[in-house]
Formats: sequence, structure tokens, C-alpha cells
Amino acid sequence: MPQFFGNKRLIFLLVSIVILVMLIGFSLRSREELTWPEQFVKDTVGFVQLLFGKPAQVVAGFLENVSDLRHTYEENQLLKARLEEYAALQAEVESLRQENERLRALLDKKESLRDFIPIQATVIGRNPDRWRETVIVNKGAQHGVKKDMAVITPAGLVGKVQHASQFTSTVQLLSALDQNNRISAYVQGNENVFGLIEGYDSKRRELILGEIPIDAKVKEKQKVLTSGLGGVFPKGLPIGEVTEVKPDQYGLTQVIYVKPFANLYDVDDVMIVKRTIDATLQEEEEAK
Amino acid sequence: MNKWRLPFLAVLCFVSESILVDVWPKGDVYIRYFFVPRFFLIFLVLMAVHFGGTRAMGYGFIFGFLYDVVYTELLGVYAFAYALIAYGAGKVMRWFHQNWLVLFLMSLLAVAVLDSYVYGIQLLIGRTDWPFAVFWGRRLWPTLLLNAVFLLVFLHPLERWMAKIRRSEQEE
Repeated sequence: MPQFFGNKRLIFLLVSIVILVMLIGFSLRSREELTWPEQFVKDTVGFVQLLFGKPAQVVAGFLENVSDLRHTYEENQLLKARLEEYAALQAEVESLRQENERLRALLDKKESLRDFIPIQATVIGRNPDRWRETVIVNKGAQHGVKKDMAVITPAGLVGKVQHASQFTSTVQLLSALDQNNRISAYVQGNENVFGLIEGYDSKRRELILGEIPIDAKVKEKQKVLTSGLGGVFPKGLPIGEVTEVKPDQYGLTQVIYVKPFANLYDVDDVMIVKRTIDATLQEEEEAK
Repeated sequence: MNKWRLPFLAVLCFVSESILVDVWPKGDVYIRYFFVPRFFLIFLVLMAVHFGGTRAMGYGFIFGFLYDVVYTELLGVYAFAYALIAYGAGKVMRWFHQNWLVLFLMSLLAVAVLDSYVYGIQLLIGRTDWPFAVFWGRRLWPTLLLNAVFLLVFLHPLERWMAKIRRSEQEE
């Protein structure tokens, strides 16, 4: 059998392993920003992906539409039934909005944590190895995207921006949430209960809302929204619905399982959410 | 013109991985099983066979690094593995007769090695807590299955294309 590695090559291999370990160590640090070569590479590949991906998406979209057609009748029936509900709801929302504006004017409080500017973005790529569910979207720092911004679909929260490069950014989906990326949320009720989204239970396909005080009363079917406390998330983005409440492993706090409103896997078009209150603060700073 | 054919093929294989995962219907199967396309790796093995290990190593390193930067944000992992696998494939292939079945099995072996290696790294840095049985059941065999199907369809055209590129390069 011929020798697989020569002496020189063995040393080369060992040196590469050392460099590999160093590089992994470097990328594991929680970084505020990617280095500029990384951003450049990301943007370039993103552009190529867009070039190849658009036709593929068109074909896939067409096939999906064809399969959707089969359910059209049933869906139509359901939607018609919902339409009346919707009209009533809209009237109520309108009156509440007006009231809110009036009260705000009374208090002379112009901005709230709730207001946000959406940045429309399209998914142009996905991490193929899926050890972390991340997607690449076609808007970046040049369009005002920053790290940790919330990413939503019309149904609800789906993820947060992991890194923003100049023209593309990487979005970490909620289904890949880890301990370092908690999201502050609250359970809507007579008394709002605050907690942190700590992770994702892939077996139940539900989010885990932890750090809930043991005496807090939370029932099933209550809604969970972002709290807007800490970070750059606005207040009141819908996340999901409570399905189960149980004490945590030490019995000191409670853990709530939350069924997300949005499909955390099937994302095509998303909105990146920029809080208005941050935007105005920034403008004020720039004016100075 | 001829110079650009091989890089173009490499880019096509590289980008198609991400696109396939993106347009894959996101049903229960997608959530339960992890079908990871490794088209570029297959391209790399074939390239090592046709153009020699050294040139394939260069491609492996560059595209591996792209993979790290763009997708996983864990630098070095794929660059290292792709380069090493290209080197290994170049070496091993000298001992065998080149035929269809050997190439098929070699490519699948490369996929299995790469995926186990990435699993090992993820385990090491604590990004996963899957025991090996779960990794095998939910990730490795679906991945092998997908890539086997890809090989059945595309091994022959890819081979022919590469042989053609090699011939035209030799003529020049």
C-alpha cells in the first residue's frame, strides 16, 4: 500500500487543523458585526443566488399554485364565513385606533414602542446543511437593516436578523433559537405576564416561554406577543398561542409552550421591522 | 470560453444546493427529516478523479470557504473538509478502475464522511445534543438517499461533461 500522507503533508495537515480550530474559535465569539471580507463574499454570492434562484422560485411557485387550486373551493367557503366577522372587527379596530390617537394627543406622547417601519424583503437562499435554520434575504445594512431586528410575516414573528451585511442579511428563524438569543415576550391577559422565549421544542414544534413567575395565572389559548423590552423589537408583534403551562424542572418558575402563528419553516416574503422610536432617535443624533 | 466551463459547473452545483432546500415543499417530511443536498461534494469527487487531486483541492478550499462564510458562519469547517476529501478522492481513485459503480459508491462515501464530520463538529461546540442514533435516523440516511437519487440521474451527464472539458483542455 502506498503511503497516504508524506511527512511534509502530515505537518501541513496538522497546521491546517490548528488553523481550523482557531477559525472556529474566532467565529464562535458572539460578534456584533461580520468582517468586511465576509460581508463582501455574502453579498456577491447573494447576487449569484438571486440570478439562479429567481427562475427556480418561479417554477416552484407555479407548481405550488396548481396544487393550491384543488383546495380553492373549500377555502372560499371558509373565507366567506369569515368575511362578516372581519367587517365587524375592522369597525372596532378603527374606533379603537381613533380613541388611541386622541388619548395620545391628550398625553402629548407621540411615539410608542408599537410603531414600526416595515422593510420588505425576499428570501434568496437558505442554509443547505440546516444545522441552524437560517435564511438569506435580499435587504441589508444599506436598506436600514441592523442586527437583532425582528423579522415577521403577516401571520406573526418568524425570526430575527442574525447578521446584516451591506446588501443582504442572514435571518435566524425562531425554530433555530438558542440560549444566547432570547426574545422578551408577554402573555396578553387582564394582567400581562412577562417572560422570555428561550428555545424551540422541535418535537412539539412549539416555542418555549420561560421565566414566568410561579404565581402567574396563564390559561391556554391566550396570546403571546413581543414585549418590546430590551433590544430593538417593537411591542405587540404576535408570536403565538399558549398550549400548555407547567412548572419548570426546579419548580421555581413556570414554562409555557407557545404554538407559533406563523409557519416557521415556510418563509418566502418577509418584513424586517424597524422601530420608529429608534429611527427618530437616530435622526436626532445625526442632526446634532 | 473553455476556461470558464469548469468554474461555471462548480458555481451551479454550489448554488443549486441552497435553491433546492429553498424550494423544497416545507411539509412534515421537511421538518422531521434533513435532506441535505451535497451536489458540490459530488462534483468535487468527480473533479478529483478527472483533473487530479491538487486542482480539486483548490476548488474545494475556495468553495468550502464560501459555504462557511455565506451559510454556516462557522469559518473553516467546510473549507477544511472539502479540501481534505478532494485530496483523499484523488489518492484513492488511483487504486481503482474507474467505473460507474465505483464512482457512485465513492461519492456516497464522501457524503457520509462529510456529514459525520460536520455532526462531530456541531456536537463538539455544543450546537446539537443529538445522539448518534438520531443523527443516523433523521439526517444521515435521508441525506444519502437524496444524494443517491441525484447521482443516479446526474452522474452520467456530469461525467460526460467533465470528460469533454478535459479533452478540450488537453487539445489546447
